[in-house]
Amino acid sequence: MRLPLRVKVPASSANLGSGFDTVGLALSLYNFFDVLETMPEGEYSIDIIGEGSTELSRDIGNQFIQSYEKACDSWGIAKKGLRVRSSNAVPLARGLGSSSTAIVGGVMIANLFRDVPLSREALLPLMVEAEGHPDNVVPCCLGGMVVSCWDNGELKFVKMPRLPQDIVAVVAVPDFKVSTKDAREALPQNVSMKDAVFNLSRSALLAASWATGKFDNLPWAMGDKLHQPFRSKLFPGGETILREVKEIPECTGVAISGSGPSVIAFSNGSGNPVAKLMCSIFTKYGVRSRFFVLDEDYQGTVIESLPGLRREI
Amino acid sequence: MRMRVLVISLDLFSTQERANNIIERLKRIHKEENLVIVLKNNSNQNQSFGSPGISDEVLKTGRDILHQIHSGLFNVSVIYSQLMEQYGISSVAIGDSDIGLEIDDRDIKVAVSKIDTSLLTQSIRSGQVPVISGGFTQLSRDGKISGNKGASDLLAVAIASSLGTERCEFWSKDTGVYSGDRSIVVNSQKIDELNTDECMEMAVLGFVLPDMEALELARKTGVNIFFTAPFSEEGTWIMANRGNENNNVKAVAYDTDTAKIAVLGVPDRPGIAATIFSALSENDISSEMIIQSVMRGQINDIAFLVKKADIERAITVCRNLARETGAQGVTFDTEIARVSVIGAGISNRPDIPSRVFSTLAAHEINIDMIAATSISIICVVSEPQAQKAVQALHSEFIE
Repeated sequence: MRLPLRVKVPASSANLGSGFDTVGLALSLYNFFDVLETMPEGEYSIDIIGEGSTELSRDIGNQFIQSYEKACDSWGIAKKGLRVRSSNAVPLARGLGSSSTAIVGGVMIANLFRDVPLSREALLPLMVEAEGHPDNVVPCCLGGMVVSCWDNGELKFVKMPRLPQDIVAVVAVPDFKVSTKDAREALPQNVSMKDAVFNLSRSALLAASWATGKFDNLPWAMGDKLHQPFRSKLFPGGETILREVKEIPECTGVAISGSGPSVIAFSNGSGNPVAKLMCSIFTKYGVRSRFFVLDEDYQGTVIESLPGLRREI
Repeated sequence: MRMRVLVISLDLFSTQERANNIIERLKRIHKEENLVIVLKNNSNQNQSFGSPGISDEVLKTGRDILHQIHSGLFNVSVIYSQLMEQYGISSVAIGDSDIGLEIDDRDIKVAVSKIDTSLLTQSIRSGQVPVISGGFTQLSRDGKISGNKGASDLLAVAIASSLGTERCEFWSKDTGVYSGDRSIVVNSQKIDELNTDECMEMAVLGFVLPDMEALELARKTGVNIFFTAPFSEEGTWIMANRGNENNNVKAVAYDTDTAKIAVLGVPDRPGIAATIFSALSENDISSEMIIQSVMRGQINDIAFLVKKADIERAITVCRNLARETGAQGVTFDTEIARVSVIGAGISNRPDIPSRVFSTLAAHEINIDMIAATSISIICVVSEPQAQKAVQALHSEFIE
């Protein structure tokens, strides 16, 4: 392996409405983890630039390092120390899979230290186990829209065909955080059979429509009664955005991204009318926001060489 | 006899009473001074012909002429010169072609360099008031007045310069230029004098003022502009020379017609910025306040502002750029405003930046971007906080 190298990891949007804990989409917004050199075992130097630079841990508590060490441990290989520079563009704790980028990045780097590196697909169970659910890390690693099921350490997944290029993903990101704890606690302990069937039918329709290119079904197929009615109450403007954005003619489906508070909407055209409405609603509710207009990332996580001094390890 | 080139906004003729008063005032001025009147369509939208400011008789004349023409467009100066004739002011309507301009002169800046003032001079000598529908202000057959409002300003300054007068007077509803938007700053004060540099900066940063190109021409040709209301003796002088620097903040501006774009994680390679801004330029998207972050890890963030009207095209251009350059992504923010303090020589005052930032901090207003020129300090803040920021800065520096 030649250093320095860069692990380029995409953002991801999980759930996509009806696909609670099972459907996720990789997006063209990236965190870069640059591995600059190796250091003695147990020693780490971490520089963080961009999103989360004032909040993320720069020591052993860093999620990228934890993920790296866990992978090394699980394979029984030496944990070489690392000098890492993390350049983050994926907003932290906003429902865009920021932590998944660290988990996927860490495992991908550990894999390079194996005598015989594993395929990306073979690395997935380790990543899902670290994250606890598959719908961020699987698309984050493989790219594209992925339907995945995780049960007792076993993972089944299908990577779906590409999203047409004339459909963009508009993501409005409010300056507001929803804790994972609150997001989980907001969910009901039990759901009615009626609501379960509502989601079952729509998540099946979502997968079937995506697989066959029937994207006109998305507004319907992204309907949800299991999590969004509860989580949209956790951030100002959430319920209004979900209700009003789907009325815009260009909008082809809207959902809370992950567990929120970002909101993702598919749109034809530039995405501007959708973005404008989402951000103006956040403003109306007193919350600052910004937006991204993203493509589907179909490549997933890649490792690239970095220009500059090369070093053999 | 003294000469006055007068730019009059058409919206001042909005009622019969106002129109009567304006004409009476013109009559009084004309007794002592030679006058050239340039009419200005001050509205962003086309106005409807037949406003109450035009008497029934003149309105009928206008309609008669409309019926007679076939080109579909008509010079509004005829209507207003007839209105003046009604009040006993000898006047003559001057069309664009009468001063050497052609309807195909879309580039008004080029067009003004061709101005031929011989007919104007002749009319003035014979005691007439030339009335010019500046900037190709025309009346269409469907009764809409259209025109490039900036072009009227430029044309007026060009005429003033060509006629050798040092004074070009702009009449609008405001009695001058004020230190802040009077709708949100209760204690805003009329500014007695500005130089063209300050005025141009204020125009860029959100004030409604004479057109930028007109100000530029005024500076170049030494024409002083007096900005006032028709019935006021007071106003604001916009002086062509730069002699009035007193190192104080004179105005606080704000502008919400702007959006922020940040291209994140752009590779640090020579030519990347050229690629980004060439692509924007090719798509006719102007950018301002371009800020590149300090390079770390061979990548930079490049942030800049565009007009809100351009955001749709900018989204497409920037997404393509991010893909082509290998950037991490692009983020957009349309809920922002620029808030600026302006004054010639303020860059010589080390206390001013610190007071700007301390004032905003004291009001818990977060600053997204900062830029400074020799005569302004510009802060980008969230749009809902813009008014509070303007009021706080105005209170700090001017009240």
